[in-house]
Amino acid sequence: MTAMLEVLNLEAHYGAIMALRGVSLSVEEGRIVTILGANGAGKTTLMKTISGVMDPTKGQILFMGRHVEGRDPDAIVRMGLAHVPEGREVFPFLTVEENLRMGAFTRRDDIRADLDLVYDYFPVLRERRGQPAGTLSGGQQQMLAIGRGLMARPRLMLLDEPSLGLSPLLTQEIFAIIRRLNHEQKVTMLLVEQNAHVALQTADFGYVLELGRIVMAGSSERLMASEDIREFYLGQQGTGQRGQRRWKRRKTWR
Amino acid sequence: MDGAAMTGPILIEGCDTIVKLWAKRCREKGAAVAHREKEFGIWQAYSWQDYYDNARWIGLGLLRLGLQKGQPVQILSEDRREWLYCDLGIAAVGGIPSGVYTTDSASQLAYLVQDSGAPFLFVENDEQLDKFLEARDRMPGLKRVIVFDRDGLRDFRDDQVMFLDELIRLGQEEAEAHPRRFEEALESVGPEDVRMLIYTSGTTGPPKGAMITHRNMMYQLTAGQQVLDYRADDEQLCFLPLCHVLERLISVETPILSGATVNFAESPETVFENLQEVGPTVFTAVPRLWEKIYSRVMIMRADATAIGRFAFDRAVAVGLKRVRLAEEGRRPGPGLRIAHALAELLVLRNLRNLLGMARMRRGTTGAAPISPELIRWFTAIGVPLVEGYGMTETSGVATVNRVEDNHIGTVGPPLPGCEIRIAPDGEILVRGPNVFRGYWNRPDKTAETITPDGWLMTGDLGRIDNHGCLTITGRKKDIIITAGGKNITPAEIESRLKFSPYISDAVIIGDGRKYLTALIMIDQENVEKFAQDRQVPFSDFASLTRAPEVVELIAGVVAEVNREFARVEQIKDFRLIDILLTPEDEELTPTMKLKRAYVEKRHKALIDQMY
Repeated sequence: MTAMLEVLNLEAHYGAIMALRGVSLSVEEGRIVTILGANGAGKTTLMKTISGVMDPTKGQILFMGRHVEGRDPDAIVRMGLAHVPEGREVFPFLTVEENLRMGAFTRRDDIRADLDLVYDYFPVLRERRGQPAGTLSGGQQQMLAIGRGLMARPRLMLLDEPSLGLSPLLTQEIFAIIRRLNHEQKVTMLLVEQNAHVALQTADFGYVLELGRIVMAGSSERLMASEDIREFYLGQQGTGQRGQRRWKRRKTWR
Repeated sequence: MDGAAMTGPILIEGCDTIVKLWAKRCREKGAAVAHREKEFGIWQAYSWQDYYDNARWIGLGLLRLGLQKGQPVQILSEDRREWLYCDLGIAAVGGIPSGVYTTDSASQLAYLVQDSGAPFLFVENDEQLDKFLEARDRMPGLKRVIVFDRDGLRDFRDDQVMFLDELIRLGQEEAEAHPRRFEEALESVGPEDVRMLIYTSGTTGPPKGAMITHRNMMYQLTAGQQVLDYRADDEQLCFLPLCHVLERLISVETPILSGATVNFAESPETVFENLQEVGPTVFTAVPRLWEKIYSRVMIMRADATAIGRFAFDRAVAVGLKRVRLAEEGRRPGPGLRIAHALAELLVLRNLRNLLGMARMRRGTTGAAPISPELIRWFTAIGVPLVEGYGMTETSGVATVNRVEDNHIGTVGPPLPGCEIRIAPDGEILVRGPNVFRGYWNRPDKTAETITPDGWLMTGDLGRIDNHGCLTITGRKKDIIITAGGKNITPAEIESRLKFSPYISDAVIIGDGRKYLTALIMIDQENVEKFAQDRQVPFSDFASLTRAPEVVELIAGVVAEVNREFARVEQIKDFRLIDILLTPEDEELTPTMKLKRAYVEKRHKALIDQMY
């Protein structure tokens, strides 16, 4: 397998604030890779920098062997990289189908087959194809956002917190579809999540981002077995002798 | 000091014990500031009267609970004023305070409590309390645990556990009932009584409790007063663990003599910020911290403008020239004096302001070897740094350099009244009023350490130069005898390696082997910066240590160090430790030094790769 996406020493700033402090990672073709991290770790910044919404101050991004750092987002989409943003960001006054067509904005070829494909994965969207997207439930909007991303026929999808604001049941459903898309449509996935549990169940490989730095990298099994991940991301902790515990152990990331 | 002083009591202001001197100082200074501590981010001041009152109540509370004279009491807490209140409260009523590192595990705590036979244990908070709860069945001799902070323990009830405010209330009741009890107990403490028990981090075998008497510490104060100028308006910053003899001497005993103010750092991670806020006038730290400050400045230099870099380099060069002249005992000429005044005005003063060292009269370093170049550098920027030497068994200090006569590269001459001699095998022997009384309940170990005529066998190797200054060359038990039969002291090679900003510690391997190799712990911050600047991709710490450019960087440092040593002392190969070690790890001491024995055991696989 070769690396489909390679990020090297990426640095990004918001004004004087350094949000990414040298991030390197690679995503191999056909895999699901997840990035875990707390609020403010730099996950969304990383996604935005990869998809071209933000420009890095330093570092390189190689997508299928070509430099994409600093390029315009639409050019990057055309190369086969779709970004499903955090908080879904559907166009509320457009209908479901119009939203999906917007996803194919960069394409000039026939998109009917792809519309059908999206509707097959998300039958509820077919039912509501004429309805304004703003009237959909949160879970349906997430489906729409993913479907819109699929309309660009991506090789790689960046998914920014698909579980945000969803019920546990819907989260499971969305992630099941992500797995199927990866498996059946061969879409490589780079997934940012705060819900470490479902992310590690879905992904093959994971990175942990803290304050703009990668502090840990490993296969999902390895991460799930790590004491730090268990305590800080999976919410498991030994309750000790008193049956409750307020203090946190020191992170060692190993 | 003459022969009589070697045995008689040591008096300071008419006091022969630390606690008497402390009580006197508290009376005199009253409402003056003794301690400062941050609460919710704001520095708060606490007086000598607070110091006395709280210690008194704690001491009386413990007497009420049944503390007997000569019984140890363990304290498990980060540095804070309550640590000192307990320390003096316990000592004043004849108990023996002893500190436990907050990084120690539950089973290590149980060992210390059992070995000392302490009936009482102070713990800082719920986190440390959990260690007691986890191992309580292994501490049958323990009567009571006293917790400083109530946070997170509102609903907690346990017959064996109480809170500090409850103990203080108990002490206040006792003070009402018997107003003179504390003072009487304090007066009955004698100079030969044990002032503190310091457990030495045992790299071989379990830790041993070293008994340090009041007389030992009174000697440290009189000797210190003669060679280091203590001032009543000194501001100090306390951040090394108080369980360690060095910080205890500097932050507890010394201010009792000098009347200085002690500021507690918020945590070991915030030392740089706290240094800037406090601006201490005297500062004692371990080499690792001095190295960190140096690396910080070097990183700032690299990020500065070309003009800034030029000015900085010129200023430091002028400063260094002056240091070299001073070392040769010569005075700078007029040209250099003008250049230096300019350097001061334009660069050095600002640099010191930036570091929080504007008011610093003296920096001291000890507890581990430091590179002479680093001492010169700090002296050049206007922070006079002197190196000292000592160990728990010499109750802190045995030798120290003076600011006005600094023999850089040596650890200075012995304290006045302390004798030093080199044994035929090169071992440093120390005799004097600073030699400790012995190990707690281990007369056999004491006999192995102190000769019948009073010489302490330090286990360190060294030599004494014509000025009477001592140079440490290594640890006796660390001597490597290669398969070829060559004796090598690894410390010199290791401290050369550590001078590189990219290496935070190193262990030389080679005992019974054909050649020498090294296990190296890289400095995360500086190596990360190196990788970032050169666009060397890495993800986590392990991948950083595997990056070919990083390995090459360290190989360059090793090759450079090799050039300075003889053929048999060449490092043939090295490996980087690929996990980021924390003080909780067995391989590291609480002061972040690698422990040879553990490193060799834990990283055997890495070592075997090299042979």
